[in-house]
Amino acid sequence: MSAFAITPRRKRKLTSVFLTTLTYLILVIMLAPIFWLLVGATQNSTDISNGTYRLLHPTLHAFSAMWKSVDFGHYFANSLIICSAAALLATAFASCAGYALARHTSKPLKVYGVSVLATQVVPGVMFLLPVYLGFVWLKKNTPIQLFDTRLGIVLVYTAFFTPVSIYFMRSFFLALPRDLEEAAMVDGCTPFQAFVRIVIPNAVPGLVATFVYAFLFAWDELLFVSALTQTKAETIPIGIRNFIGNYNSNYDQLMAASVVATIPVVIAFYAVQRWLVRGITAGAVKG
Amino acid sequence: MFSRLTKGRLAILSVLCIGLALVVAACGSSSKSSSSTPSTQAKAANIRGATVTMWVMNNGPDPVADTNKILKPFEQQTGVNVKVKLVGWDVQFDRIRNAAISGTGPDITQAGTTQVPFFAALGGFEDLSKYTNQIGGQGAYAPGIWKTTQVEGQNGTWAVPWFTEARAIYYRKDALKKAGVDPATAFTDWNAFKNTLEKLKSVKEIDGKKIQPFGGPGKKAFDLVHSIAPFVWGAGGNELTPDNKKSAIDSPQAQQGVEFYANLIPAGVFDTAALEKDGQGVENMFKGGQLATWIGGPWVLQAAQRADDKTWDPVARKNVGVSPLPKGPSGKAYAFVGGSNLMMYKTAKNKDAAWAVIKYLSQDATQKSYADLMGMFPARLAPQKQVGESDPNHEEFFKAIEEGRSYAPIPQWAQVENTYKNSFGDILDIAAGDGGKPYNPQTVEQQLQSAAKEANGLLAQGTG
Amino acid sequence: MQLPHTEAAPASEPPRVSVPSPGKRTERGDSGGRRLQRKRNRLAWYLIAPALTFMLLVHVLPTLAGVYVSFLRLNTFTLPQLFGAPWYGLQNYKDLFDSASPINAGFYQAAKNTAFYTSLVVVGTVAGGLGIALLLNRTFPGRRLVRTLMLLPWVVPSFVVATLFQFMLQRDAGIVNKILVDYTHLVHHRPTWLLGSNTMWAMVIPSIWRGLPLPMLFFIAGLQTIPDDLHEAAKMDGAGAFRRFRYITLPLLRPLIGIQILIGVIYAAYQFVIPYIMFGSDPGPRADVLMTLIVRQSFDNNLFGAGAAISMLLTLAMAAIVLLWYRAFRRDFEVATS
Repeated sequence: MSAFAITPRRKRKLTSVFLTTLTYLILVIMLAPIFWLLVGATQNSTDISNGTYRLLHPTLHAFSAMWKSVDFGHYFANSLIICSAAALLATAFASCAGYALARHTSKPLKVYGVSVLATQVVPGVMFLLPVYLGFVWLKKNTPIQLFDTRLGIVLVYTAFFTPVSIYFMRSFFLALPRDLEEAAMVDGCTPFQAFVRIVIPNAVPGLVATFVYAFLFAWDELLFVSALTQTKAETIPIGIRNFIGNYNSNYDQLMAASVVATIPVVIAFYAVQRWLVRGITAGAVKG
Repeated sequence: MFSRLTKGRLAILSVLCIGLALVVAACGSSSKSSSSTPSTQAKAANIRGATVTMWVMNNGPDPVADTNKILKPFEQQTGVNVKVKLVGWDVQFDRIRNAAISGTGPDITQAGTTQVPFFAALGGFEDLSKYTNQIGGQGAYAPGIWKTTQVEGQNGTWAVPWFTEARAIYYRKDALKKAGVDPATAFTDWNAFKNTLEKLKSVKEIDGKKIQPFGGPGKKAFDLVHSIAPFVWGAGGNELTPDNKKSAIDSPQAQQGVEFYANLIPAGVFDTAALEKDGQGVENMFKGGQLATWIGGPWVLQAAQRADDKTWDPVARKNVGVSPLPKGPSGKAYAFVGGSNLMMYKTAKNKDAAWAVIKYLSQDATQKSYADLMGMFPARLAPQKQVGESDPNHEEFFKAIEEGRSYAPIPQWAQVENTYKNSFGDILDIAAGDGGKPYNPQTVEQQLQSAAKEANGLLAQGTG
Repeated sequence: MQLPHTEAAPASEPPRVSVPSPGKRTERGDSGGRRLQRKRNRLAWYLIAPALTFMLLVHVLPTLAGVYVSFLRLNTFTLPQLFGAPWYGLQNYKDLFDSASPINAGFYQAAKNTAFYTSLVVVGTVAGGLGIALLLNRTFPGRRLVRTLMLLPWVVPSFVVATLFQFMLQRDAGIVNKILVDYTHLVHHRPTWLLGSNTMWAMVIPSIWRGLPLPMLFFIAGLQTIPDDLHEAAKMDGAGAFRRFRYITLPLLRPLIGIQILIGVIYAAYQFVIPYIMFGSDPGPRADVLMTLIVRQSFDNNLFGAGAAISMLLTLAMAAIVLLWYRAFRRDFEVATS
């Protein structure tokens, strides 16, 4: 008989330690690829192509070379401008429509709400080709030039990401108690004034979170830009492939560029994490 | 803060905000392409001060700088400003096509010789036959090369040949020596080729570096078909029927050719690590000293001389040899001859200036210097001969060009080639044991048959 | 053991204050209330007007045009005619199912691959997300930090994920094979991930990795709304951890699981970035999914009519799946939205 008896309490403690260790192990596994991304970005190009990784001798060379070998600054600027503009517009639309859907439940509005959801069932590729043809047609027959322009992509992204933004924003409005607007309207405000003066200022965290949410989706998008841009409006997802397949395979610069491409969204996400998570989870739970 | 805000003012404010977002987005995108009608053509001689935009592909380690270098005397002489832009081989097909249909492209673009018919059929390119007399017309080019500017069924000259390349076998002189193989007989025909590779198996490493007998790219390489087609031809097969209406890739001879190439994999002489890479990646493998033989184009000879090309292993750099492709069962050896041509978009703002650039690049002297810089062969006959006579390795390439062959000049070829590329890539994967299917003649036959089916459908687009 | 089905509400919600809706009779009187209600209804329409217009113009109209294109013979030769290309009727659709037609090439395989891939990814992300959420629902040191860091894979853009895994899965130089073969000797023959039969796994793993945090988030929130006393009561009745999970946790989480399954199916079936970046537009017979097939037929082969037809079929399939899902989860959905 050993002196170390497995009492129920000890068993719980052991289980607890085991589970905590398991949790951290899983965390390490989940974060391992990101660690490897950083490793790849800090290695020497010829080393990487041979498969030798010198973890103890990182170099930041790739981070400076990446801006010169490929026009990465151009892609980065395009991505920033396009995604911000699209997210801004989507948030603007979403705040109006989301409020309407949050406060009203009449039949026609319900139909509208369902139709907004229904747009998500259609794959992007379904409406990509007509948009492509449409842009070409516009270019041929009108002075409007949308193909390979930032404006064209902004319009497409806004349309594509407004539906999710609407539902996202709606959940924030649902969480706002009605009494504030009610009180304002009782005091003689029109509903519109109540919306603008009372609701919006109180929903600013929701607005910012919706902006970031739409921005995250737009930053990620590849299908539309691959078909609708050539050179002027190229964004990072398209441009980043130029590091490989040109005269040199610069995997180190590709990884460095990937790191640089990830930084804005990581910052944006974690800056509004609390509200973003609130919006994502509240949306489903409240329905 | 909102006290004075009425509904009307707020509406204006929101419109302004949204407008601001749109303006920021539109900023810079409408810089110079907003006009839909080309400005009035400048008078014939008055091209000074015009700007010509030009797209080039990866023709060397520094394509844009090299092209700018060649064009400098022209710019100084004529006052035309040429803006050269790099468009990678992996995206150039989509780009050029999109530019042709949407009218938002450069003034001139480089295009692969096999792609000209496809692009021309889209209707966005200028017929250059009214200009080509100025550079000697058809007579200044070898017939096979002039053919690449024509489109079957469509009158006109749709491109001007720029440079020519052919594929041949590169080998490591030191590896062959170590294996006891005489370069003169190493690659005469398929059997000799196979034997040479088997013998090279015994040369496991050179100068401390592991080396494999042969390697070639897989599906990722846009030019995979150029490496395999010579074997199809060598076996007596064809990529299309003589009337260019149906695919012939599933014929027994074509299959024999494809199988010969793919069989190198189970024979253990093919470095399967190359299959994951594209053409550039495998080229770097040869230059880096990992492969003893490789099928490639003439630019690598030039790259061996360039100190700024850092991908070379020093021993490899000094031991490069070239041999024509081996003769197949048909008794003949065919090399793939390709290269690039220059095409002018219909939407070119100053067509005379654009033609002036093309004309300049077609001068014998310019052809020679660009070819020297790039390591390609000039497209024009006279300078082409010159380069061929410069050294033994170049002479081999010149022979290959003379014996060379290319594909049918039909618009659908670009897509058919893509289909064949995917099919060949899948066959190579299966041969490497990764395809999930057993590698045997039946499997190859199936693959080729489905490729032929797909190609037939693509070819049928043009009818009815 | 029957449990009352409680509506899961996030703990951080402020309590809903019930205010008499102005439409009803209030102390202020009837007419003022009704006029206000009409004004509010009008406002609702004004508010959705911009989003609705935009949606119709840039989303609905092109989608209908896409349906129209699927009935056209739009290919290399007719492309310059744009929407005026010749009418083809149902021929594009017939060709898809006709084994003699080139358009049929790869269609069945891509459909099978898409179904397989979707199932794997949905099961992986939902089950994995649930598992990790359970682990994170405990109190342990560093819990908040762990929860924050676990979200990182979702924040990393898809194209970075694809490029990164492509880099890691290279046969000779990639770290995955180095670990599997050189360091741990788990496998003796170096597997090829980016070509051939392993390509499906090469796609599935990054997809699950990136998709996992989203369900995890949901489930964490959901788990937190399950009142502790339910578990306490069950524990006192002698129920072990697994029984408690099966009879308390799972039923309460059913609406969330349902939603995550739907989101997961849409995410996976419409996934384009990961296969396209890792394998290009022709991933090969094992990894070719409908999205890459559509892009290949449309933009590589220029068979735009065929591409549109495949998109249409994919949309219809997805609509059918959504309807099936609705039948299965309707009860939970209605309770959650009431």
